[in-house]
Amino acid sequence: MRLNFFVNDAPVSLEVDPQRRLLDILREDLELTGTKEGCSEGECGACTVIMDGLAVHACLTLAAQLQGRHVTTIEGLEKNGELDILQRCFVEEIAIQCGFCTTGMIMSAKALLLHNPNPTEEEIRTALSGNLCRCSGYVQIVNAVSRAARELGGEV
Amino acid sequence: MSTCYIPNTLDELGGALGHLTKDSLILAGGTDLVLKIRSKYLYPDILLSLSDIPELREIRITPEQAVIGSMSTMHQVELALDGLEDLQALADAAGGVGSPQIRNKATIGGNVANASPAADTPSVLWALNAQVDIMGPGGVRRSVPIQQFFADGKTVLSLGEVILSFTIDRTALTGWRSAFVKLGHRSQVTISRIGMAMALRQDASGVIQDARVVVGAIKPIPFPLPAAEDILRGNLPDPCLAEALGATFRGNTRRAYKEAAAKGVFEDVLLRFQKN
Repeated sequence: MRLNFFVNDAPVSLEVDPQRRLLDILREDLELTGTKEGCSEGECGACTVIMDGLAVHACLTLAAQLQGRHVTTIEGLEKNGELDILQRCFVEEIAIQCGFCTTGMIMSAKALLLHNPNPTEEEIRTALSGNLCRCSGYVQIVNAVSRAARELGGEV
Repeated sequence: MSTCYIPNTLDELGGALGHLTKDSLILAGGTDLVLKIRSKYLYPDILLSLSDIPELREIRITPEQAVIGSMSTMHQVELALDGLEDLQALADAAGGVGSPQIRNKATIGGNVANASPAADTPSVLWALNAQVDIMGPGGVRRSVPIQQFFADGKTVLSLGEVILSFTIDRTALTGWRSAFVKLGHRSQVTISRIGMAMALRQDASGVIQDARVVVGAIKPIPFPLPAAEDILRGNLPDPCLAEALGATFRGNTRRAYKEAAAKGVFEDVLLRFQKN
């Protein structure tokens, strides 16, 4: 099928198998390897991207579901050479150990702040409930998201 | 490469349904189907994606009825129904499925059509007496009560049929409140081991006039628990009934822990009726 959609605000047009996963389109066809493949079955959240404003699994999204959609990946957060505030807060709060879950964590957090700029700790934990960190850094991760929300002062 | 149909209207959908064969696949949210495609190396002749038909994502709620498009995501169902006392159980069930990422894609139609014994929305739709609105090849429509939708662990959908929407008659639910509680291995991102939909009609002093209890994740399809309904009628929804209610599970499950756990699930669901 001819797939026309948007990745990080840029139009993309590809000839793809309708069963090709968004994850493979991003990583292999578009060489955007910031989105990670963890469990491949929607449990770990490492492949989280934002589609039309909502966090979704790139591993469970097929080309046949992407026509005209807007997808944002971790690569789309940095603007004019500056890290997104969430990325900076993850670095400053040392919310990263091995880093494999980080991009998915940040995309889930980004989706949360898009809809809820002043989340409670419980809301942050719920928003990140589909993202696993095996280095067990949840406290720092929650701190990083809280700090980003605070620094944004309710503006995203 | 599979042929892919991505209809944009219900008319186009009706046309596409006529082309499906037993080797075709219908793609809703994809949160179950993609796993199945990959684990079983399925290669359908036709892949029909329901993603791009706006009517299937509509949720229309009036005082008389609720019509929930089959492609409404769990997230959309939760948002639309949360706070409506008669339909609260459906918001509870939808809001408890998987993770935020899953709820943003998984659809109520997929949850029902997939007919997993562990699915959460079927038991609620059962308790609320929902009708399943179906479209077949050529756009032919029919409706089936949810209680007659499941058969032998599958569904009554024939080749080329899809669910368009679920219709709930709210006039029949006047004075009813509902809630859904599930038991899983953890609080989030968990598959139900017991899913319990309860609907109660209480009088002004809180005494239960009528009750419906439908249980999921125990048998291949949801089942009502009339013995529990009998215990509830004439009483207040007091968690101290949980012991007696839990005993009604006996003989319904082969898993001993579920018999024991049922008491706790009843307690949790009754607590939901404490707040006014």
